[in-house]
Amino acid sequence: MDTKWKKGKAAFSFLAFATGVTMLVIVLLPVFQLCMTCGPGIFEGPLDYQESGEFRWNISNRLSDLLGVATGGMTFSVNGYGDAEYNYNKDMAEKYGEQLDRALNEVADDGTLQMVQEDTVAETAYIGGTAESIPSLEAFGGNVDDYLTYLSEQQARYEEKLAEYGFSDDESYYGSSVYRGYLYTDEKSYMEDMAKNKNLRYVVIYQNKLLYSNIEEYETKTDEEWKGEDFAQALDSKVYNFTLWYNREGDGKVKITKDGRDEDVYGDGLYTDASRWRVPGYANYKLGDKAKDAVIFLAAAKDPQRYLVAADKGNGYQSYGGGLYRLKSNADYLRNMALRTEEFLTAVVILLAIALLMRKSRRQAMERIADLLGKLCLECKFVAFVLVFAVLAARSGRAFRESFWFIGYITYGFGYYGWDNYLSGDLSYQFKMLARAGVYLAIFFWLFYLAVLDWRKNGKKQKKPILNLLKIQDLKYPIQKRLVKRQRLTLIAELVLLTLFLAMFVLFEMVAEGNVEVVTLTNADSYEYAEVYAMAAEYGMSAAEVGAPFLLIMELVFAILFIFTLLTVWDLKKNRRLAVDIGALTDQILAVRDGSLTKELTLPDDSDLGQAADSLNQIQKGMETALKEQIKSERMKVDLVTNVSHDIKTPLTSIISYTELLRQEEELPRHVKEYIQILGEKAERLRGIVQDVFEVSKATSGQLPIQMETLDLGKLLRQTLADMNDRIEASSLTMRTTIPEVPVSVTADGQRLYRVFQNLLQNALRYSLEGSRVYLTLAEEARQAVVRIKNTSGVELADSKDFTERFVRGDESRTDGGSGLGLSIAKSFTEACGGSLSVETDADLFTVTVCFNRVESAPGQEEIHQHE
Amino acid sequence: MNECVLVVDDDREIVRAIALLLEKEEYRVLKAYDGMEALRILGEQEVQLIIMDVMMPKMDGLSAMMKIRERKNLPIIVLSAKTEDTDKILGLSMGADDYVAKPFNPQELAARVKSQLRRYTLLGGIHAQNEEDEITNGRLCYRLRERTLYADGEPVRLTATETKIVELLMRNMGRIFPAEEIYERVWEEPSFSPENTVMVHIRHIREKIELNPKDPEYIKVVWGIGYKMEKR
Repeated sequence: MDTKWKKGKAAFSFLAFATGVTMLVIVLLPVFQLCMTCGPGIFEGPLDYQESGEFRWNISNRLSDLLGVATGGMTFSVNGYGDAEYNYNKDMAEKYGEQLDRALNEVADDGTLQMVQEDTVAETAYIGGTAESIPSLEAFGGNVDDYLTYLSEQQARYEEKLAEYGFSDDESYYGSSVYRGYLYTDEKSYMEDMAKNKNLRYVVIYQNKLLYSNIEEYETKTDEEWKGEDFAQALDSKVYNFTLWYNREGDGKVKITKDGRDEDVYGDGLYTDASRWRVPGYANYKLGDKAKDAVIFLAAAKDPQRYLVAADKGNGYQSYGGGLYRLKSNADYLRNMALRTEEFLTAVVILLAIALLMRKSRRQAMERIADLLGKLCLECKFVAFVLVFAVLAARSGRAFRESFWFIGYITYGFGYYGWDNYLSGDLSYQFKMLARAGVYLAIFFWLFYLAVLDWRKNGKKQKKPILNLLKIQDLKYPIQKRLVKRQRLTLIAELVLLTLFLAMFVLFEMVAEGNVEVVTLTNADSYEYAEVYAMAAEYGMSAAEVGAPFLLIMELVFAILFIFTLLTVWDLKKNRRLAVDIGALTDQILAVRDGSLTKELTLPDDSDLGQAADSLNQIQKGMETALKEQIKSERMKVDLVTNVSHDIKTPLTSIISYTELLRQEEELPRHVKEYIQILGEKAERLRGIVQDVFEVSKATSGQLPIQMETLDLGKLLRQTLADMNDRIEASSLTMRTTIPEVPVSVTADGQRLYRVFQNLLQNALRYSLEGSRVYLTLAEEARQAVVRIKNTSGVELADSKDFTERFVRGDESRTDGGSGLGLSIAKSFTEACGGSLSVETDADLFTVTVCFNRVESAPGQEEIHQHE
Repeated sequence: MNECVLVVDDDREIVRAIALLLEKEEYRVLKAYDGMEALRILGEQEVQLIIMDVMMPKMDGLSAMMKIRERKNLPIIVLSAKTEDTDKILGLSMGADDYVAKPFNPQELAARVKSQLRRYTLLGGIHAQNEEDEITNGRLCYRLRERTLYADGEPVRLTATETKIVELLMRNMGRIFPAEEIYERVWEEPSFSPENTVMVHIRHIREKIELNPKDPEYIKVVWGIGYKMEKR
């Protein structure tokens, strides 16, 4: 119950943390956008789309269009790029005019991006001039006369340019007619489409004649005389709350009324960058004579409806919606999103607070996740990571790219994107992109979070079966090959990178030269593309210039990579020789390990490993000497023991013989017979000791002849027990044995192994506590056969005593019958047979463990059957 | 009776002790303290058995033995403080009939002397009787018709089960039998943990046929595999 609650708590806290962080990451960019572009007002109340920069811009353009229509010019600024004052750098336009045209597009009413096909541009007209904006009055120290002089000079220069490029003032209304024939080839078709859009009502009057109107009452009264009526009267002021009059009074000025209140259009009367309305009528922005005869009425709906006018102009599907509905829905969307973001942020605060309060449980959950991750193999995780990363990278490209530009615009105040600026209508699109980028960011965040979590917790203990397999595979090669192979891999990687860079390099160069079309005409990409070039255009940069820093970086990276590759090739050449030397060195080390101590290693004099080889040779020599010495001393030791035991044996023979003779004497007194008995026993024991000493000295010096054969360890134990059955039964101890019925085959010398277990059992019988039990078990553990003999010691065992040392006994008094060599013999015999013997003591529990490597089959059995 | 045994050893006390032991068994004993002396005595007197040490001054045991073997076929028991298997093999291959390691058990030595003399005197000439009816292995001889085992020509008293085991092992000399197989073939029923039962019987047989049951020569344990009758 308790653990369940804990688990639940951990899961809950982690969920809170995860959700909180995810939401925070998603909401961060959009919040930034909303605050920077719309200001805090968006969180306070609904947005009025008529207050947006794009609305004003739109209305100015409409006015400009209608003025063009009225005066007979053709300036249709459907999307703003044909804006009268927006002139491109001449070189730019010449070089990239085509691309620019292609890239132009508009945002349709439903928010989708529409491409304008290149072919629709019947003629790409260009008007020279500068991209610089009109300086403000402040630049002239507030002197209005100077300023006006400057402006008229500019105007003159402008007109000169117009003439130079073959445009007459009549053709273009107050400035330029950049995209003649763009979308509409004549004003009539333009007006037909515009008339259908009831969000924007208009009346165009020229020389007191009604030319165009889409107000029902006046639609049919074209060519009738205008008698000064207020067209607003014909409209419901609640539906059309915004009206604009141009030149109603014949003063060339614009009058705007909104919700019954007049707006201050001109401020101090001079047009500057800061001016809200870009309409004629400023002191520095007056129109020519033709325009004096025009009167324009415009009314905008408070709540625009969706009007989408689409027409096939023979060159693809074009649409024109006037944009008001889009602006309105954009404003609503932004407001909605602002509210949603507020909710999001509140949730984030609550969730993160919960996570903070329950951070202990959260950490547990994270540990658990890390543990779960640790169970997966590294390769699976890596592949999953790369897959997710690749999919995300492919899908998120656009969102990130656009977000990158948007953030750039917002941060550096490039201006188009702001509630008060002329691209305010794109803010909802921007919001969507940023939110989408946020979602991808969140996924990326968690991807890396999990990776870091896994790395920190599981670090180097990762399961990596495939890598290990490769490693094992790799280990099969000699070291020379391995080294060269690894280096070759680096070289290949570098060459691939180099080629890749070279390809990119060439591609980029070709693009800059204009040889390759980069623009894939998908709607989304081209929109963005246009933005890049629009920016570049505004700053007078060519595409090559835009790319120049990238190019430089690429060139640098390329150069570095090239140098690295050269270095690798050089290194590879040098290292191949080194690898050969290392191989020779390792071979030599192996040879030394295998006992070859005479052959010396000779490497070329200039080899990097010369010193190492010399050292190895010296070690070899040293070892050889040491080994010889050791063998000599071992032999001397064995000889000594052999001689001594031989010398002891001769007198011992006499002692035993005469004791036997004495025993056979019948007339001796009782006590003398007793003495003789003792003499006999001790002589026997002495014989045993002499034999043991002899054997153990031979075994430890490796001179014990061993006959290895495959035998059943279980059977050997049973035989040993049967052999010792009398002694076991005579003792007060109980034997508890666990020996599997199935054969446990090992390779050993049966005779020696019998001595091992005989000694161990004798030890157990001799030193166990009276009436206690001795446990003998045989078990198969992994690839080993393990025999354990456990008994409870009769005397207290001293800690940390090595019982397998010669002459060591649990009981220091040495009054028992043993030679003190039992365990020592057992150990040396076991080791001589290729096994291992260890002794553990735990309080009075004495455990001897004997391990042998198992042999799979039981050839002992087969051998028997072969004899039949 | 009164066979004559020649004891040769450079250690006078050992010679004396062996002489005393054998005299108690009513053998006539001659003593020599080196190989030369032994050869001299052999030239002078009729000797039925020699007990000889290997390491002696003037002429060592092995050289003396080779000399003796040039002329005589009497049994020789070699005594040595060397207990290595290689020493034993060397001794036996150079003409010794038996090999006893020092320090020996006096009674074992006496038993070996007796065994060798019996074989030499009683069985020496009449060795081949009816080869189909008996299996001979060193001191042992199993007569199939009588179902009796003879050791040094004397019948050994074995129980029915022991006889069956002996017959099985004698018939398949050198073959290793796992305890299960011995049990199943002798008792004629399936075995379950037969090791102890078989071992008890083998121990009893050893006590009856081996000169030193603690270091058996004939019925041997092949540790971890089974039991066998060693061919001698």
